[in-house]
Amino acid sequence: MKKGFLAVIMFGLCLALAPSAPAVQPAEDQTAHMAVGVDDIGTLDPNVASKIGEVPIIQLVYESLLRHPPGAIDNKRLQPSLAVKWEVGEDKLTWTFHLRKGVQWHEDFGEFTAEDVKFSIDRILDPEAGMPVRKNLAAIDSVSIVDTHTVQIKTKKPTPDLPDLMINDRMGFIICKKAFEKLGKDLNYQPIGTGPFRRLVYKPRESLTLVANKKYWGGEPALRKVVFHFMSDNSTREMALRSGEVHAINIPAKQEWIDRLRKAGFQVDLTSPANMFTLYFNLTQKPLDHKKVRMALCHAINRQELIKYLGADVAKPEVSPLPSGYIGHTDEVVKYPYDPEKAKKLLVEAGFSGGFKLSMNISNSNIYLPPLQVIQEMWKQIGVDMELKVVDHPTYHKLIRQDVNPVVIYGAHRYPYTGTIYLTQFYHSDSIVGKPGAITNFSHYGEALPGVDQYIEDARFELDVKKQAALWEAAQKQIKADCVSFPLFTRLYAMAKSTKLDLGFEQKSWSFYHLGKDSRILK
Amino acid sequence: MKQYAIKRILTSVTIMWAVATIVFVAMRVVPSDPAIVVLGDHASEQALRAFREEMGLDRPLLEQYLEFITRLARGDLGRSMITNQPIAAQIWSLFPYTLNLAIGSMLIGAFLGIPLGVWAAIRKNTAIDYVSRVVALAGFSFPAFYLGVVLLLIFSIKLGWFPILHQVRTGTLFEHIYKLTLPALSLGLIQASYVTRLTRSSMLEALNEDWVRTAFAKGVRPRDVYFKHVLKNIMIPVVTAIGLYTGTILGGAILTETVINRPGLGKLLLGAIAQRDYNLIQSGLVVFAFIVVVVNLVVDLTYSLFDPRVKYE
Amino acid sequence: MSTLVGDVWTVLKQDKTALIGFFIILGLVATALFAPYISPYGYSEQHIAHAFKGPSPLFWLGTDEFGRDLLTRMIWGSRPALLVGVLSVMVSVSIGVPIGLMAGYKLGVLDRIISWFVDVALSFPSILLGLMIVILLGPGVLNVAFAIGISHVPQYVRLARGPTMSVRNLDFVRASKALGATDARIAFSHILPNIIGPIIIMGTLSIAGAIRMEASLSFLGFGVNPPTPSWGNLIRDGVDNILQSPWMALFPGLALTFSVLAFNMVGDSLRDMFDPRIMMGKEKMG
Repeated sequence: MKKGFLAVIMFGLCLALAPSAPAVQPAEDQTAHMAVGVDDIGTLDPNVASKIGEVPIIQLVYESLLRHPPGAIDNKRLQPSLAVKWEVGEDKLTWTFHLRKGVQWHEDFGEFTAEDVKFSIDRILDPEAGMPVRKNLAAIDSVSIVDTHTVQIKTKKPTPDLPDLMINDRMGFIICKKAFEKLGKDLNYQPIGTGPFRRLVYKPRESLTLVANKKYWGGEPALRKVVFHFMSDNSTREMALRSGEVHAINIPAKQEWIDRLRKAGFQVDLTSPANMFTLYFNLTQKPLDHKKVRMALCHAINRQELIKYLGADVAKPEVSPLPSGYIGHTDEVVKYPYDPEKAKKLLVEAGFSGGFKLSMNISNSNIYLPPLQVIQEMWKQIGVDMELKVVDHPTYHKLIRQDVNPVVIYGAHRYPYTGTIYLTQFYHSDSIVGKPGAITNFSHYGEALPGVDQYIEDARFELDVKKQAALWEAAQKQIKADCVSFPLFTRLYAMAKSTKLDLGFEQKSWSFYHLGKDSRILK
Repeated sequence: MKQYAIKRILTSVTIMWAVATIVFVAMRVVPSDPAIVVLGDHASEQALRAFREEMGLDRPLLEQYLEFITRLARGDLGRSMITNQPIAAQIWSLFPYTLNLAIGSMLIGAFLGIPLGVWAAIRKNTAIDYVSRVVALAGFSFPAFYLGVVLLLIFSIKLGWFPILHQVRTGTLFEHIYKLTLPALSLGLIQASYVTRLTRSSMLEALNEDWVRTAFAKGVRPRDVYFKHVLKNIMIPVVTAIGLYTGTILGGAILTETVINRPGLGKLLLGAIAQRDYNLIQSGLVVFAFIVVVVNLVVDLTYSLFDPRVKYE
Repeated sequence: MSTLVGDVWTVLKQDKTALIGFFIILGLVATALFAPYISPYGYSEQHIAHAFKGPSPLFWLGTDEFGRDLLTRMIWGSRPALLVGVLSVMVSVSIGVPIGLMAGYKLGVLDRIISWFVDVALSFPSILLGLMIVILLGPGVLNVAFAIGISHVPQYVRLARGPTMSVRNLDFVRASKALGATDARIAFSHILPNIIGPIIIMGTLSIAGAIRMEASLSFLGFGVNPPTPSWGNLIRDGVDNILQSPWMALFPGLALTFSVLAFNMVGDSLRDMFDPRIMMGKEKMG
């Protein structure tokens, strides 16, 4: 008995002392190769750039006062970045941000100070600069410098979520005043930031190489270099990943791509928040001014089929004008479920028993055209003959803002994820396309039909969160009851990487992998 | 001769000017807005206006045109509207890829096509002739991009003998040639078809001439007749024709670069068209036309040097 | 005219290649005409659950990303191909030949200007010319046919100009003129019959080229609107998904190649029979 007991102890000791499985070794060459599906970058101005080729680069080069946790978009867990502490004064209007000391701008442009913060925000707010993110910071009244490392931001009305705007996104990146004054427009291609990586080489239409910032305040990055390759063809990008030439790519958000790459041993990440795609009916164009016609078009759409086409992993059904996950979202709206027979009956009731013809412009982008082809076929089943005029993506955006289409498909997500921006941009009468100051109200809701303007306006500055949410819910219910738009799905972003690339965190959000100072290549 | 040369050069210059003008007009007539392209869908009206002002898009057309023409005359191809990088530098860096593709396919076309054409002519009306005729017909019935797809599928994707990515990284001669093989083949095989037929008919025509019959009658060895005399004679028109196919070759190159994902002027131009980068499209089209015009000019002048029978009015 | 048809038929009967080509063309025309009756499915009919499937008893040539039957879409693809092929040649001939006649007949300044325009047009690769026109006009079968037609006009101008220049000096033409015949009459009665042959030959070859160019333009995304199938955009869909379903690109390409081949076979034989010398000039231009 004793012998057995001893044996167990010995065995246990052996196990405890035995060397663990070999730790994952970093590779010799710490250069990460990423391939993005663009022909080239357009600009690296951090407050302007929005495309998938540009954003990952900017996230490595520039920083903001606060930041989201790595790889995520989560304004409940914001971290200090260029600001170490912040508080709001008793007047509830004056925010004081205490800046991090000893942060150096790239390429000897000096130390990061409050001047840079004021300069950055002032530039965004300047009406002459015409920055698209100006309206995101509309709550800000002025910025003042207290001392080299203290900045005060005054808001027009009490804005409890002001810190949520000072994050690593277009509205929050801080640029270097001295660099802007010296380089001017060249800043578009020679970004000067405070981040863990800085620009080394840019080969137009080919690649952009970043090199580690040895003086980064957070510590020297593990990666020595990051190369972003521009490869707009999807198949080429996939082959590059498979052959090992690159470590990570973005892929079309479709089930076949995901399955194929997973089968080949790559890690596929699907991220959100992502774009919600909605069909907007132009109420000023016949026959869409008939509610029954609009209802028929809705009943003819089989959302499940659309989602099957894209893939259950990437497409999540949406029924409300405000996407799921946004504060104030509700699913308790009129849904217009798939029912082609009912659709046909409604058309007859509206006086269109023989169906009718529609003609719309559509972008050739593969996030817009394919789903619309599925819808085209679905509408054909109820006798609605829709002609698709394919145009290039920028032309599509121009035409729909010129109020040309009877139906517009649009995918968007708007940070911060509350009802304000989304409902305002798509459903408030001030946003109707064609007006000065127009945004993206394609339906003419609020004028063609009495809309939800009052709900939206009341909710904007409602301080009681419950009351605010209730107002947004009321707006959603009415929008759906009036059958102004038909939300389709949210389509996640998809990307794939080799297991050799260790990010150091999980990529939950954003349209492509963000690296960090701890990211590295494994053997 | 000199007079002819000067005339041809002048004609070429006027052609270039006409091309540039037509291109300029075409770009202005297209219904798209480069401002939205660069600044994105969410740009404010102000930003769009600022951009248009900066690019000179809001100035009167005539002013834009004059500036365009004068810049072109100086060799300044302007800057890309999207990347703001000088276009001339971009075109210059991509030019070798397209040039190599054109030359590679011409060489394949010549080295495959001429022997085949000669053989077919010598063995006229036999099975070989017939087969080569059908093969040649099939060859240039293949759309350039389809042949490229087929070759890519078989040799790159399935067999993995050739790479998918065509950018030259290390710059060794071997790498250049290795990455050139598939695209050059997809164009070259089609070229070879044209060349085969041309060689065959030139050869047949030459074989019918009196002096050739005389040579045969005199007892000159057939092999000598074919290769020493006839071949040399037809080389000029054949080579000339190959040179004049530049337009077709370049057109094929554009498609091949797209399919096989090889960097080059064709892909640059198509990318520019997709992005509505006016400046790049303009300059790209002008460069393409320039290449064709120059090659035609050179071929014309060379041809007239060698063949006194050429009539020029 | 009837002897012309007779000549053509003789050629076809003698030349096996041409005969094969002729029958392929007949098959093509029949396919295009009877497409709705011989297709197993509708060309836009989607079966999402069966997307990207390979050839199977249900779908003989497989399906595309929307689960549409590839065989059906290939059959229907013959329509834009033939339509564009024939229409574009009609455009080229009806515009190019009269211009060439005028240039060759009147000579002088008019001829110079026209020749110069022809040179300009020929200094573009024709695909770029077609592309520019299609971008201006927008997508659709008719626009594509028009664009391709215009891009081939220069060849017909040259084709008509040459013989016109040689014929205009002949005695009987001069005699007609002296007797008071109008230029138009001379053009129609005397000159045109001389160039009909080459026009037919070049026309046949042009159809081949037009079908190929339509596919190229569709491939580049400038062809017909969805969901209308065209061999070019079928190949495009195939190339976009080449790692998933390679057959999507292969099969339509075969249909395309065979159709182009058929017209080339016929045109080629006609050319060999009629007059190789006139066509030598065309060959040099590429």
